[in-house]
Amino acid sequence: MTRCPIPEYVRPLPESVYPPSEDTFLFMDALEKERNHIQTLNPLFACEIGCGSGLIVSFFAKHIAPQSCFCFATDINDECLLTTKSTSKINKVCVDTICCDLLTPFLPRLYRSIDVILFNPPYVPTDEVELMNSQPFLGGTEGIASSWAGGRDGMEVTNRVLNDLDMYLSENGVAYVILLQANKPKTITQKLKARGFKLTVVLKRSSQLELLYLVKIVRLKPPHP
Amino acid sequence: MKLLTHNLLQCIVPACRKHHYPLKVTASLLNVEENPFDAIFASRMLERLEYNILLEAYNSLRQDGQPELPPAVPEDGASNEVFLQSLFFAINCLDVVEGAMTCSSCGRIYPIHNSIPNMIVRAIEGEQPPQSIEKEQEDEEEEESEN
Repeated sequence: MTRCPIPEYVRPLPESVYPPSEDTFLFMDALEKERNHIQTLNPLFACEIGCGSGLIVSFFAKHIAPQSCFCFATDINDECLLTTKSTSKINKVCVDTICCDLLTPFLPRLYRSIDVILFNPPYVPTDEVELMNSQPFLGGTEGIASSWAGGRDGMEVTNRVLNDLDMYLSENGVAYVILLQANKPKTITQKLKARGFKLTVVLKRSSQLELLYLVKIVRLKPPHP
Repeated sequence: MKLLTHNLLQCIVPACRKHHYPLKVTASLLNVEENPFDAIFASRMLERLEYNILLEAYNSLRQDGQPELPPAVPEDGASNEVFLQSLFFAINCLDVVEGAMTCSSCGRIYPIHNSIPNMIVRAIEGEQPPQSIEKEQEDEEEEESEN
């Protein structure tokens, strides 16, 4: 497989922006592996939740998305969106950016309409205080901690997305998510199955400290009307 | 922020959640991006747009010399090249760099700065945090055997 080049970005990144790391590269490798599948979907709406440096969504827009796909990105940290704007501009792709909590302001307009969700969540298990300090709607300030603090099992933010997948994903839509062994992927798989979704591992890779998974989540059957 | 995005966003204040769409958009600085025309994109998006809301937003921002949108979608809208070009310009080229979106119900103002709308509601403002930060005790024991 010919490797697509990693997008450029402006260095140095602001201190509050998560720098491209092993999970970022795993994500891009997996998207490249999934390119045919994604192109078959002919996506119209694709978004990255928690875009950080904007590398993943820019990579997606440049190398993976077919033409005629609207790519947008959200983050709770304004500096991430400024960085994503500049990353997308240098790479000559269009990514609209919105500072918001997950995808909240897009409902109900994008109800069951998003074809591709990209999500490299804050997956590090932390205590409640660290999670709260990282989330502005819980009274915290959105610094770099919002890129990693995941609360219990590292899943508190990810669960908010997984619990709402039925509202976001289009009929054939797909969500790509990074998970850690500590997030208990088997339990997540079972819970998603009970809710009508199938989780499969696209790539896994052991990094220095942890086993990283890039998983894809799709519907087992068409959604109930 | 593109007007396509504006067409998708609504007020996030819990009391407004039922129907506080659309937000009224205003701009003090606009930019025009030279994105190559994509007829398929425009015609596919047409099915997903609230056209009247786009029309109102676009007409409030449109400057002299920029394409006009008709008051209603033409019957052959999905294949009418001239119409699709205007539509493409309105949803995907015009960019609100500085401005705001205002909720007509609660009056909340969401500022747009550097083309980025800020739709964060902070706990300090006394809003309710989002619902589903779930606590699940039952999967406590599992996962020991995973690798």
